[in-house]
Amino acid sequence: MRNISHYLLSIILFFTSSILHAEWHGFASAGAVWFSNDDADYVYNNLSSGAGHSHTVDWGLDSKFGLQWSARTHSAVRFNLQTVVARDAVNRFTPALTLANLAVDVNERFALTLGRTQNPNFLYSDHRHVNYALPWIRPPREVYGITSIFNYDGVQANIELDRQYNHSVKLIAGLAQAENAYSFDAGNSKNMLTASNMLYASLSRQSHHWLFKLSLETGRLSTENPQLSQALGYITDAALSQSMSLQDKEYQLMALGIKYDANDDLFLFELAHRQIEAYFGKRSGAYLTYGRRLGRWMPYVTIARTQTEVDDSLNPVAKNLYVSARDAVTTITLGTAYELTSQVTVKAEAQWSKPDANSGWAYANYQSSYPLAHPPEDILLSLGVSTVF
Amino acid sequence: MMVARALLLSMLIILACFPLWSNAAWQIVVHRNSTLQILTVTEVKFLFTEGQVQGQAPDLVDLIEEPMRAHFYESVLHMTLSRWRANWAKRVFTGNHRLPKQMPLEEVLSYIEGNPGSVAYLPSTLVLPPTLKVIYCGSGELPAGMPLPCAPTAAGRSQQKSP
Repeated sequence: MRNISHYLLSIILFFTSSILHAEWHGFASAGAVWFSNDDADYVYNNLSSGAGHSHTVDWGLDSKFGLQWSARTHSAVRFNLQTVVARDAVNRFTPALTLANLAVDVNERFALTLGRTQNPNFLYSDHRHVNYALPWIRPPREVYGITSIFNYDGVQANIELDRQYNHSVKLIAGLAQAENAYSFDAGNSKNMLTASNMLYASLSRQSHHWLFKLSLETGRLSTENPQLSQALGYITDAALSQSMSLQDKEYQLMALGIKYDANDDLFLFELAHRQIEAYFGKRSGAYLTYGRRLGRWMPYVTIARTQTEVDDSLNPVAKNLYVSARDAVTTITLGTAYELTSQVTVKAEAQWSKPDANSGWAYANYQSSYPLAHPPEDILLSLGVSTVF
Repeated sequence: MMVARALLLSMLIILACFPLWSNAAWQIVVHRNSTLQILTVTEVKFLFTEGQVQGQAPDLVDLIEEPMRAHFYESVLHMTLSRWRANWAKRVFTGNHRLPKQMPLEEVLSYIEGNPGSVAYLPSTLVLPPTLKVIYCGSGELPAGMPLPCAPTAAGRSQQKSP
């Protein structure tokens, strides 16, 4: 994938001589998070440490900086390069390429993009790093944590199926592959998750107040993880070990999003479901957000729930793996956004969360004192400021 | 001397327009040859938030003067500048759209005259050259019964002749 990105970069540099128009854009956010439970860390997607046990106050969860260069040539060819500096799986702030693509506008309603794009399946997934453009400090992990793969390398078609007086219907479809780093041990070691043969389609209908989005994706997942291989090696039942492994396993992802954005009211609903025949099984998540605009303020409430359906086993190793993969949490978040200036927004959130019993994926870095069978209620407080330029 | 004259002209245009835009009436202006027809207020909102209307995706022109811009967005689109910016940020940072072009008020008329595919909002009492036409005039803030200081000069949809 890195080779493809370098190849694209070369093409982009080659075409720069014919560039008609180029522009730079950027975004930045800084945030602080406090978690009430010091026997575990609150983490998000592929992050491996966070507020709670590892940090009293975590400055890394929502702090990021992004820069984008976009250019257009005479021949309806567009280039996009975007890099984001954010905390990664091994607790370092390193730049990551989030867009590196060449797009050809075949006609006004059909564009073909080659290179790296962002996951288009959810309402906010393709710009989830731009905190300024989000209604929350960060998208609810109950839905956006269902997948950890967001950088798609491949070919994508953007087709406008219908464009009427005040609504449009769009289809984004593509073939891709992706990889993502994660860590099982608070960032001491890095493992890779690889998705291949990805085929996805996202259909959306946008009118003045409403946005409906339905997405489907399939592909194959594999991981390189010596710890997991070692654990599976202890399972003597070969069929069970094979069914739990994560090597070239087919997965399916489905997402539905509904947004109603009127003058003063904002309603958001998203539902997602992912299934795979591996030890971390089937996971579903949903949230409902209501926000009310009051001048520069927008207080909001979000109710979210995620749950995982995993098999049970009498084999102790298998049982432990299933527990470690179960993510079942209910959260209620109260927050408010305040428009400080036309390009700076401040947001504050208080989140109550209650994991189900034996949900070993809800947080990270569990300490032996954490009562996994009877988890307590927790509070997460977040404060963030974000901007675009 | 030329610069001083241009500056003076710019100031005169802005000063002349100030009482007009502060009275909260705006007109949406396109080139005379544009195929865009009279817009409803819903279509105006769709145009400036989604970048398209009536099956077209015209080249949007945004005023660089922040107070005027803020007034247009708040009185016609019913959104703050910040909300409008956030709405466009999500498009820009997916790499699929560009922000509307920003330019000073005194440059807008000549830009639309030279770019038939563009559309801009302007204070309603700004006198337009015959090469341009108005496809929307109004504001959500004018008291009921108060006459609008402008009127659409484009044909409405019901007035369109069949091909």
